[in-house]
Amino acid sequence: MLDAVFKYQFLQNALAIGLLSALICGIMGVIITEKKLLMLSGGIAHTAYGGVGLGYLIGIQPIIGALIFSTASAVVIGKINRTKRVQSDVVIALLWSAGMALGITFTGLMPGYPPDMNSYLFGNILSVSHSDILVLAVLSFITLSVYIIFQNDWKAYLFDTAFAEISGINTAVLEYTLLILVALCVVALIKAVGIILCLALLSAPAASAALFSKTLKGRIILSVILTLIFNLTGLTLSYYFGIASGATIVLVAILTYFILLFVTKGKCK
Amino acid sequence: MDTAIKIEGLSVAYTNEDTLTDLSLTVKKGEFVYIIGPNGGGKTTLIKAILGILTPHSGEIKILSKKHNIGKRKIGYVPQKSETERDFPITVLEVVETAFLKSQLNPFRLFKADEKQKAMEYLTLLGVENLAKAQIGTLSGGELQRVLIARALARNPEILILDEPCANTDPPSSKKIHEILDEQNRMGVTVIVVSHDINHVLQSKNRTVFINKQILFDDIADERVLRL
Repeated sequence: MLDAVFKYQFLQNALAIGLLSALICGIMGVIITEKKLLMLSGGIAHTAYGGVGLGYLIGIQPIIGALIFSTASAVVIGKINRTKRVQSDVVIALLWSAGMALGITFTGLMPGYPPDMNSYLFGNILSVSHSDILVLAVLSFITLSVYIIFQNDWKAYLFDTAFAEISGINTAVLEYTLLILVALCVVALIKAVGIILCLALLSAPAASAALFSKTLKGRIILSVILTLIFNLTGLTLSYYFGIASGATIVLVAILTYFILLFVTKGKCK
Repeated sequence: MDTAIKIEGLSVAYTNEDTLTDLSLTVKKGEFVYIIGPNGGGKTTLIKAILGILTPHSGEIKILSKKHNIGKRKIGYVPQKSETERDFPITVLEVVETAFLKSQLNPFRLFKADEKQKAMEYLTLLGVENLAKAQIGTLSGGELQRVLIARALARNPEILILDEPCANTDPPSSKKIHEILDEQNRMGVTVIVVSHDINHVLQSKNRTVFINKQILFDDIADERVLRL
């Protein structure tokens, strides 16, 4: 496969996406799993589908539509979380379904044949362009910077939000920032594994890393490495067997997690 | 005596149902107050309203005669253990260090050697200095509670608020916690404790406020306390 990597631009692009998505997933996946925000992330991811549909309908880049929809849903969920007037899981479920329904409706309104949405739902890492790599590089840089610059604020907020709030830390800013980063992360993963499969790439590496490292920093570093391994292994297998890359990456991640869970008996060494 | 906390006409609601209704309460500086009452009676809601975690739909709270959002910075808070993320990968020392984050956001903030030393002093005061490098998830209930109290004290508070500090703790931990709270109170810190331990509350002879949506009585000598 190495020969092919040097020969084909699309494989070089896929490797770049694999590397950058490992960075963003490694950081955000650990934070999302530790803060138990996986279902919320799923909700944000699925609203992105509405944005993809709108993008096709009004003739803008579908990924820009996904970015707008997922960021807007992150802000709405954050607002509802803070008012505590409505159960947030109800709102997440509704936005989840609404995003999918809007995506179908928008593409249905297009004249002629509806576009193929499969690459957005299940990803196609082999079809990425230079602009996709650039977008992911910027998102990865933003995520890494926000984490490193405010790492002690994150620790205080993630361990005990109430104490952080009364200490004077602006937990509202941290919460909205986290949710918007989740939205950015989801958009970043759409090309690699798609809207439906991205939850696995956010959870499996982070959960696997938690089996081996007791520190936040250790889990993040290990999670980045594992995501990279899953991406490369999945990509290689999909190349040789001619199967969908997104699904292969996700299956490798899930299978590895369950093997590690079995081997370690679910306990961090 | 100056006022530590003054609450007037406080009403707080969860999903349109009142949890606290028109509650008024004054706590003077240096007082030691127990808050008791039935489950769902609004004890924790009252604490969260004082801390600004819940927004009341009517009423006013003043802390140290200042507006609520300014005064609350002088509060050291010890939550119920269940409110912290026990599985979060953080060490005991790191937990106490978070008490030194005092700005709205703390970019590039690293803890200095004197802050680490101060954090160790509070852990020593609570008798858990040997656990400084332990992960928070490995502690027993009593050990965790002592760490959370050390974190609250590290803020050098004028008011200390604790929500069920001795729930699910072993007798030695419980005794140690009460000793520390009494000592802090003798040093002039106002202490407010939500408790289910009626026997200890009765023995303590401290002011006791019974809450069930409103203040039903506010005196340890009230004969209704003795019937609890």
